[in-house]
Amino acid sequence: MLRLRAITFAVMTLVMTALVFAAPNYPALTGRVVDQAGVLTSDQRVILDNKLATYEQTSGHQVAVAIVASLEGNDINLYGVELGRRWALGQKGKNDGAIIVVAPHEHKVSIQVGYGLEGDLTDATASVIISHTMVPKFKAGDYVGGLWNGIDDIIKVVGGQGAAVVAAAQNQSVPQAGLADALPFVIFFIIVLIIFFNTSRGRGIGFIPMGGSGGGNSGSSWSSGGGGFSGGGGFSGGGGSFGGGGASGGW
Amino acid sequence: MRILKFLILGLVAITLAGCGINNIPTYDQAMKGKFGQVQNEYQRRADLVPNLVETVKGYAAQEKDVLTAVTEARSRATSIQLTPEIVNNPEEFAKYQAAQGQLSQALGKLLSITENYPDLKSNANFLALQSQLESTENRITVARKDYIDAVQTYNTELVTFPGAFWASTFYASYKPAASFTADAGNDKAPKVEFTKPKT
Repeated sequence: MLRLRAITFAVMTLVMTALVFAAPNYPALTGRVVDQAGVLTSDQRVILDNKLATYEQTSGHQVAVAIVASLEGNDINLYGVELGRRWALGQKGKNDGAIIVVAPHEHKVSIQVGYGLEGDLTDATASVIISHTMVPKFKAGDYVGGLWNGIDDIIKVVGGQGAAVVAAAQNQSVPQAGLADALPFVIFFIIVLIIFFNTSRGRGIGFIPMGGSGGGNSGSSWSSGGGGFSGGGGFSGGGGSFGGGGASGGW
Repeated sequence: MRILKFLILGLVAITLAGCGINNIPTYDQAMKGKFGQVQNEYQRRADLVPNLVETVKGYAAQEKDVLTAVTEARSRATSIQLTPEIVNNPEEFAKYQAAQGQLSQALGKLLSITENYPDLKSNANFLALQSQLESTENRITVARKDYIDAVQTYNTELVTFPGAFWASTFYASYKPAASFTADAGNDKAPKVEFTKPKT
């Protein structure tokens, strides 16, 4: 009996060791935006990092982005849970962090939400943000745009504007008409604008919307950031944990 | 003299604590807490099912067999009376796991037939339910893995020194706990090893 137990134990130890070796190669937490796959330029990374740093200062929520070179065959959601736990995103006891995992080679993205944020950022909303805001941009190779808009949406949703984000995303999902179809509408819109601005005494035409009005919240204009070269040094997790809340999608 | 006695008693208590005399009850509580989390996530899934069935019915009423199978599997899974002692009762535990496994399979089948109904696939309500179900399955996987780890810590403590000594003296009532095994037909256990959540 005792020998059997000893053998079982030895086997278990072996299995454990094997599992450790099979564990994916998790990227180290070098900042709020970790780009293992190298799809962002360093400027883009800094801009996103600054956005997330500002958000943490104002709201207390730690959000990080991991762009991984490979999932090594793992489910992206479970990978995200483990990475979020390793990085300990979110405040200890509150578990109010979130992590966005992008796997450009596998064409997958996941938003994983800490236990404490699950009530604000629900699975269904996270799913809408992924499929309507992030995936179309990623599909076009615009990683920084997809992340920027996705983070914007997350901030809005956590701030209590979930319904507005979902509505905007769903309007966006209307099959996009070609430019030729939209042209008469655009021209009509411009004419209306010109008339409007001319009649409302003497204010010049400040802006002319380009490229179809069906675009919803397009034009993220992330170029306005540019906040120096702070680089997000010294970022570390606050001790939060994750339990699998969130959503994922692919393209 | 009396003070000395108290001092010695205090010293003994501290030494014993260093010997892990508290480990077994601590690990037992941690393990039961993790099982509670598993239960919550299974309950969350069970709560989603009626809504999901209703929504699918609206578009695919002819898939009666699949819909009935899901409803029945759900009622079987939720009919099991759960007490904290279930973790020390391998038979009951296996029944619980089997019932939840059947619900998993029935739901998997339901989701696979929805592929044939484009209108259903573009229904916002269905998409919301589907994403909730998906992440609930993820939560279940995570909670199960956390529980398995907690059981391993607890069971190992019971049979290794010094835990084995305390188990045979003070904590004779503490029995090894049952754990989840890979589900039949659903044994694609995640390769991801989870870090223990900090609680």
